[in-house]
Formats: sequence, C-alpha cells, structure tokens
Amino acid sequence: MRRFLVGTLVCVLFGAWAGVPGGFAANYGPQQTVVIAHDITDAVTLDPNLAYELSGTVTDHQLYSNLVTFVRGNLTQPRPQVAQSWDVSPDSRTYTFHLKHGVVFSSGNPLTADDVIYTFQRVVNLPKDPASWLITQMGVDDKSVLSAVKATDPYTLVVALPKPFSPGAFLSIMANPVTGIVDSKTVKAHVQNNDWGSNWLNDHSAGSGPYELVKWERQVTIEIEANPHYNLGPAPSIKRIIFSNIIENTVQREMLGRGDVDIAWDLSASQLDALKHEAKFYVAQTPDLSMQYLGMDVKNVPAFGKPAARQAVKYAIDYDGIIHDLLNGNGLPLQGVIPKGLFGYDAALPFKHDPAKAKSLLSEAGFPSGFTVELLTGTGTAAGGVSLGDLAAKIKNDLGAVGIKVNVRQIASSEMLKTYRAQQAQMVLLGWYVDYPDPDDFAKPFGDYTQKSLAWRLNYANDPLAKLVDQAAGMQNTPERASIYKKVNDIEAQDGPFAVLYQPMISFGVSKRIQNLVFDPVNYFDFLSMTKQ
Amino acid sequence: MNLLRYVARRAALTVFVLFGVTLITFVISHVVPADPVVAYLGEHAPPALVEKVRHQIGLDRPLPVQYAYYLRDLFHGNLGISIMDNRPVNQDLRQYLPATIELSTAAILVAIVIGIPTGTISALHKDRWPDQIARVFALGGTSLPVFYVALLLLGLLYSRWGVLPGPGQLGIYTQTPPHITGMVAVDALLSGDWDALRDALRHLVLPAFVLGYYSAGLITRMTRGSLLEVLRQDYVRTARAKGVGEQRVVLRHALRNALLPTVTVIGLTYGSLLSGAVLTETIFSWPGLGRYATNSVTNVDIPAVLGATLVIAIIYSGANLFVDILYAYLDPQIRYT
Amino acid sequence: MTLAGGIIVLCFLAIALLGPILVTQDPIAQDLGHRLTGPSREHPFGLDSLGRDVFSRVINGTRISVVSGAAVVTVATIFGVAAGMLAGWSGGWWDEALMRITDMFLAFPSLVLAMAISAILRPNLTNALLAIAVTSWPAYARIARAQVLALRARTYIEAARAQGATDAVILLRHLIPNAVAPILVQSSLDVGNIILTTAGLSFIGFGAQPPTPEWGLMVSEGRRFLMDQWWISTFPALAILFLVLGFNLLGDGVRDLLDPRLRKLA
Repeated sequence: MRRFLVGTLVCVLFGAWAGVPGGFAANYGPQQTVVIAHDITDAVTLDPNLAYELSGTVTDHQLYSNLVTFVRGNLTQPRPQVAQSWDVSPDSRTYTFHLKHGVVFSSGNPLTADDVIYTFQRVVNLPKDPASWLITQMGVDDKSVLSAVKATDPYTLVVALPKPFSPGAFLSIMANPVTGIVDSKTVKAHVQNNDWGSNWLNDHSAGSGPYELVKWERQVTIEIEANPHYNLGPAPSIKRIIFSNIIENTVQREMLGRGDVDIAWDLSASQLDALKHEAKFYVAQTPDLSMQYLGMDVKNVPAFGKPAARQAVKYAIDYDGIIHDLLNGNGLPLQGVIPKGLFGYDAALPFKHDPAKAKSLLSEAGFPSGFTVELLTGTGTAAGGVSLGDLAAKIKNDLGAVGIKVNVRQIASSEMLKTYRAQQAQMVLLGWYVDYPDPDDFAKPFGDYTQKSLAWRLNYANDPLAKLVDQAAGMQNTPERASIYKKVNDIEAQDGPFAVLYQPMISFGVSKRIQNLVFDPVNYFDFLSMTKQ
Repeated sequence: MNLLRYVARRAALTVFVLFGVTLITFVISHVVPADPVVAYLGEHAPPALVEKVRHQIGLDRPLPVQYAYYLRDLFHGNLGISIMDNRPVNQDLRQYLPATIELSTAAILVAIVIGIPTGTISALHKDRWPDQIARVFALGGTSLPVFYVALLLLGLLYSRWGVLPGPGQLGIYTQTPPHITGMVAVDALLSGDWDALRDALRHLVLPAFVLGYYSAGLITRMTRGSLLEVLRQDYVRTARAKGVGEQRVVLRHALRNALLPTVTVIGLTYGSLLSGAVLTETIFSWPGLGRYATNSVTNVDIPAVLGATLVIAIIYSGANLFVDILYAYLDPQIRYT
Repeated sequence: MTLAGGIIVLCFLAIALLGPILVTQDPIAQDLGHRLTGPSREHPFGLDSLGRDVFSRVINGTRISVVSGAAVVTVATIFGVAAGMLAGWSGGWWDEALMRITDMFLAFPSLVLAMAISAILRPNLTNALLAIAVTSWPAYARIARAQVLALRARTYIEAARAQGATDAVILLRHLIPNAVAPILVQSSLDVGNIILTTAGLSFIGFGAQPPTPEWGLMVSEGRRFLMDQWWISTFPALAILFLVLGFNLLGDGVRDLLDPRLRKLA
C-alpha cells in the first residue's frame, strides 16, 4: 500500500513538472522572429541552382541574391540587384551586365563575375536538376555554358545566346532563385564526390542575400537568420525566420490562434473566410500567377474531337458556384490562359454557366444524349484551398446536368502525370503554376504543341496558334505583342481543349502583430519591409 | 533439438523471409503505374530532361539488372539514393527511425500502464461492475477509428483548452538537444537539457496516447483472459482454501504466470504499431518512419519505398522472432514441431 | 454483452439491407448554397462541404462497410483455408514453402502492405479490399494448417482411410467441419479490424474515392471542418465505432461460446 502511494506521489510530481510549459532560448526574441506554419515536406534541397519546389525556392530567395530582381510585387519591371545596369543587343541574343562593386557574400568574400559564371555552370551541370531547363531552353547547356557566359572583367558579365530569346523572359529568369549567385570560393572548397558542393549547401548557405541558413531539419523546420554582411540594402528588422512544418491546416489554424505561429500558409478557403471575422488576425491575399483548368483530350475522347463539344463543356461549368461556394471567394474569374498580373492578361469572360446552351452545342456536335468520360485528378488540395475531391465532384455534377457522365478517378499525381504526359488521359483537372513572370511561360505550354507540353499532352495540334505563340515569344512588351496574345486567348476560347476554371488567390492567415506584409506570387515574402510588434 | 539450434534455424529462416520481402517490394514498386522521374521533376519538365534524369538515376536499365545492382548495394549496407530527398536512404532512415521508435515505445508504455492494471481489476471482479466498465473500455478502445480520435483530441486539448502543446516533437522555440540517439526525449535526458526534456515529453503525450489506447484495449483483454485462466488452476484454489492472507501471494504468483501470453502480445503489438503510426504520425506531424513510408509510396520514390519496407519488415520479423524464441525457451514442446 | 453485440450487428445489417428505403435524400446530390449547415429536422446529421446530406451518406455507407467486411473475410477465409489445408495435408516441401510465404506476408503491418498494393493497383475501394484480403489470409492459413496437422493422426481418419475413402473425401467430411470453430472465431474477430483498416485506407486516400459515401473517406473530407462543423466527421466516425464494437462484442461472444470446445480438441 505504501509503495503504491509513493509511486502515485512520484507520478503526480513528475506530471506537474512536465506539465508546465517551458521557455525558449535563442539569439533573437519573439519580436524579431517570424514563425510561418507551412507544409515544407516538398523541399528536396536548398541548393539554389537545384531547388525547384516552392519551399526550397522561397527560402533560397532570401539566402541568395540575383543579377536582377522584382521589387514590392511589381513583376513587369526588373530592378537592379547585383547588377547595377545591363544592355540588351537589338537581336535579343547578347546580354551585358555591369555588376556593382563591393557586394559581399555571407562569408565575407567579394562577389565578382566569376561567381556568376560558376552559378551558370552549376545549373546546367548538376545531375537530376529539375530547374535546369530554364537555362537549357535558351540553348545553353553543359557543353556550351563556358563559351556562352563570359566575364570581360571582374565586374562585367556577357551572356551570348545561340538564338534570340525574349528579353522579358530572360530577365525574369535572371531574377529566379535558380540563378541565385553562389559564393564560388566557399562552395568549391566543399565539393565531395563531384557533387558541385550540393550536399554541403543543404545545411549551409553561401549567398549574398539578406539572410543565411541556420538549419534545415527535414520534415521539421527551416530556420534562417539575418546575414551580417548583407549590403545590398538596409538590414531587415526581422532577424529570424522559422518555417515550421505543420501539415494539417486544421492544426495550422489552431497554432495561429494560440499565437504559436505568426503566419499560416495553407489554410482552406472556409478557414480563411472564418478568419476574416476575427479581430486579432487578417487575411493577406494576392492573385496567384496560376490557374486551375480542365483539360480535354481531343483524340482519346471522340466527342472532344469536335470544337462544339469542347465549347459545350465550357458552358456547362458553374464558374460562380465554384468561386463563391467552394473557394469562399478565394479565387478570381479567369477564362484566358494568361493570368492577371502578367502582360497579355485578358479579362474577357466569354463563357457563362448556361446548361441549355451546352446541351444544344452537344447536339450540334453529334452527341445529343451526352457521352461518358473519365476525369483524372490528384489527391490533396487544388490551388485556392479547395480539395481536389470536392472540385472534381462539382465538375461531375455540372457536366452531369447536361448529359456528360463523368467518372472521377483520384490518383497520386505521379501516376496521373505519367498518363497525362503519355497523351493517354481523357480529361484532367489540374493547375498550372508560373516559373517566371513572362506571358510566354503560359502561352507556350497552352498554345504551342511543338513544345510537347500541355497542348501536346491533350493531342491538340494547332499550327496557326503555335506560330502566333512563337512569334510573341521573342517580342518585348509592346502593343503588338498584346494584340497577338489577345488572338491567342480568342483561339483558345473558341477552339482550345482547356476550360479555365479560375485564378486562385494566394492567401495567408496572418496575426495582426505582423505589419507591412508585402508578397508576390513569384518570390513570396518580402521580409525586408516586414515589421512585427 | 536444443535451443541454440532452434534459434539458428529460425534466424536463418527470417533472413530468407526478408530476402523474399525485398524481392516482392522491388517487383511491386517497379510495376507501379506511376513514373518516379516525372514525380520528382514536376509537371513543367520537358521530355528531354525527363529522359536525361531517368538515365542518371539508372531507371532505364532492365529490371533484373536493377535488382542485381540493388542487392549488391544492399550487401554493402547501401540502400540507394532517395529520389524525393536527394540523399542516401540510410541518412533518411537514420533520421526518421528513432522518432518512430520513440513514439512506439511511449505508446507501448501507455498501453501497458493502462492495460495491465485494468485487465487485472477486470479479472478479479469478474462480471461485477468494474469488470463491465473495463471491458467496455477495452472494447471501445479497439473499435474507435484512430484517425478521428487523434484529430478530435488535438482539436480539443490543444486548440480549445490549450492543455497540451501542438504537433511536432518539440516546440518551435526549443533548441533541439544534441544528436545522440536521435530520439529527442532520450537525447534531452542524456544531455541534461531539462527544458527540452520537459518540452519533448509534453509533445509525446498526445501521440503516444492516441497510438497506445488501441493496444491498451488488446492488453486489457489479454491480461483479463489469461489471469482468469490462471486463477482457475488448482494451486490457486488450494491457496485460497488456506486463507485470505495467502491471496496476496497468490495474486502476485498468478499474475506472473498470466503475464506470459500478455508479453507475447506486447511483443507482437510493438511491431504492428507501425501501422497505426502511419496515421498518427501524419496528424501530429511526427517525423517518423510511418510517414516516411507513406510519402515514399505517394511520391513513387522507389529506393525509399524499398528501404522503408525493409526496415519495417526487419522490425516486425525481429519482434516475431523474439517472441517465438521466448516461447520456445519457456515451452520446450514447441521446439519439437 | 454478446447479446448487445448481436443486436447492434443485426441493426446495422438491417440498415444495410434496407438502405435505399431509409435514405431521405440523394447521398451525392450537392446543394452548394446550403453547405456546412448543422443538424436539423430535415437533415438529422447536417450537410457537408458540398451540401450533401450526411445522414443519407452514413446510411449508404453502412451497406458499403458491411459488404466490405463480409467480402474480405470470405475471400481471405476461402483462400487461406484452402492454402492451409493443402499445406498441412501435403506436408514436406509444400508445407515449408507455404509457411515461408505466410511469414513474408505477416512481416508487414497490414496497413503498410495494403497501402503499397493499393498504390500499385490504383486506389479505389475494390483494390483496397483486395489488398486487405491479401494481408488477412495468412492467419486463416495458419489456423487451417494447425487443425489439419492436429487431426491428421487421429484414429478415425486412419479408419476412414482403411475403408477406402479418398483424401478429398476425408478432407471434406472430417477436417473441414472440425476446423470451422476456430476459423469462425478468427473471422468474427477480424471483421472489426477489416472495417477499421478500410476506413483508415480511405482516410489517407488509398481506398474509396469521392463521391463514394464510405465512412473513412467522409471523416477525411470533414477533417478541415472538425472544430466548427463537427457533424461532418463525427457521425461517420460514430458509425464506424458502433459497427466495429458490435462485431467485436459478437466475436468475443462467439469465442467464449466455442472456447470450451476448442480446449477439448487440443
């Protein structure tokens, strides 16, 4: 009996000790630390020339500087960062950058043109590099990189491309984390087994950005702290940023509520809606440079071979219902292939929810009693915070109302992509996300089948459209370019195999302690302007 | 045959079984109607890049050749490079396995601490109200869907009432203790970091409880059943006849005998906790093996799938083997079959 | 207790059979305008994120769960018993081989193996059930084999042989009836587990696909709304709880009933 009592007493005391929440120890207090809750399990690497996943690129954008950059959400006008000025040759093939003097890396080493050349080398040479195509599409690969990218002196860099490439696209790729400039001396010192230093860069950063990497514990956390050597601008007031891995958005919401995190990244549409009514939080939103679309294969489904049937689908969809009810307003109407925020965006909405018209178009196409089709989609969440299952169920409903019987198949995205890329799908429900903020990044996949991208996957070969896209690709942002993109959008609407559903918003649930939150859909957070109470 | 030969035979068979496991898993993961290269590179990659990377990973070689390479690497302790993490699978496992061990061990402790006393009380008061309550509790425990309970408890205990901390192994601001075993709570204890230990234990409570209550139900029933059987034995009746004072001695003696089958259940449950761990780890953002296995299946990360299943199979087979040997040691009859 | 279990199970069976009659609304009809509404007289379990009637979905889900459990147990039993009996009767090499194969399947926790198989074959309910059956049969094989081994040496078997009965006849007439008891115990204990595993698989996306009103899938679909619109996840979860509880109680009762007989056989 006595032993039992003693045992219980010990347990109670232990429980009391363990039950009290502890404090924390760190270099910077909560006032200078921002905690962001996000599913960071997509991060594969923090090597800027290798990273392609959102969590990786968003982090690398803070650790590494580029030749040029976009500032405060303005994605049409590149601004100087490491390069103070640049010249473009009239044939859009040669780019000359004049680098600033006195830029240093977090190690203290000075930044010169040789570091930029080394960066380009890494992009085209790193094995299994998903981001390499951004450079190789310009005609620069591992064999030609050293002849294409040269330094005429330590602060002048010349890039000579084998064929003309749109200056808008080129400069936006120069602003992309894939060309984040690495400290070649430091990285070369940590090369193991020919890996170009990639393994070392997963735990350390070697950049000239405002922050440096403190630690990355996979599936757990990414922590970055202010870089004391940063001299490309004023020092940020936020000294420490923690990306805390929280997968369930219900839990993210709970942690936001308790004050354990400052920003919740992956909240659902209804959670965001509810948050708008709370006093201590607000929802920060901006249109994402992406879209959710329904793709129809014109060969695998006989009905979709007829433009009238494709149009019928576009009339059958309840766009407003999706945006208001499923997305809780967390999306914008969009029916063109270029999203809002980019040059060439077309605000026209040629299709309204009209089941009667859809039915008559189906009869016109020769399918008065409808047909059956299989819809492939992934598991998880669509852009804007609605579950793909719910969205697919809604589409099934809408199309069912005009006689098209849809069988939804939700499968792992890797399997779906395999089928889609092999041109074997019937109908797909997917999103398309920006790589770099030039309209060509959208027009090419949706319009030019010779690129073997989206249009090709749906067996949609339209030569005049492809030629238009190609023509606009090399142009600068002139009224002529705008009119070509208008034509592209018109053709896509009338004839194309894509039913664009909406443009999602990027939304965060934010604590009111965070102020001056500026972000854009390419690089996400601008921590330099952010402040915290 | 004597014990040593039995152990050797069983161990050899286990190794053979594990080989079979690798072969099955290898075939399975290559028959998948999904493309791991495309999964890794993403949607935007042009076909030329996809083929280039496929060659770099070695997935364009014929299947038997790939399996041969895999076995050769396996003999050197090399489990390949994880596609989704871009680093050796060994490193992945070294990071994620301790977390699952920590969680499973805590869960088993919870299950034992709840299960054995409950089962004992239940047996001693058979058919009276403590027994009824305990049996409903045990049955309820094995009937509840664990994913729902996890979500519910997390929502109530963390969000509504703030009694327990959120998901993860440690709080956001807590410094991770130095890596000794990889198990956060143990490392904190070993390095004398009391704040981290306290934080780690607080984070362990909810996932361990959620994972353990199902096993608690099983252990309760097992303890009750075997104790009842033992209590029916002759020597117990004799002891009772001798007087009430003897009952305490009997109880301890009986309990010890009754615990034998329970111990085997515990051993088997420990191995199977990895199933429940998949769901629990996801909901609590616990960076363990179950979640790693799920992710690698979803991402078609073949080396990771092979590595994770191999480790899971080893643990499970190891638990089975241990239990079998324990039984053989205690019951010589079994060795002769 | 067993009686309670039996009653519960019978209730659910009745619901499963009567399904379509009890259902008040179309389980997949969407009503986006009224989504996320709470329980009311018209919708006793409320509406989910697409405005579907949760009550009707739960009722429909009963049929799915009951049939799933029954199907898996049947398939696993037939296949497992056949394999186990063959092994036990043939002995020697066949026996060893079968035992190793069952060991291999037993080396996996069922959820992980079911997940992997489901992923290969494409996630849908049928494949998930197939996967679970694959992980369940070894137990029955072992039981059947043990029974066969135990009974093989019995005198009445020798007598039957002496009378000229063929192996097949012996198997059917004598061995199978005696094996029924432990197999029945195992299956009644298994059904509950199978239903839980099916729900678990559907929860993580490897089982039933939308808009199927499968309970595990429903809990998953409602999880983002758990704190505010609790009814979407809670009612399906309760349904799982009660059905599994019913089967567990029933299984316990069956085991208690057949237990003394088991001991006599051993």
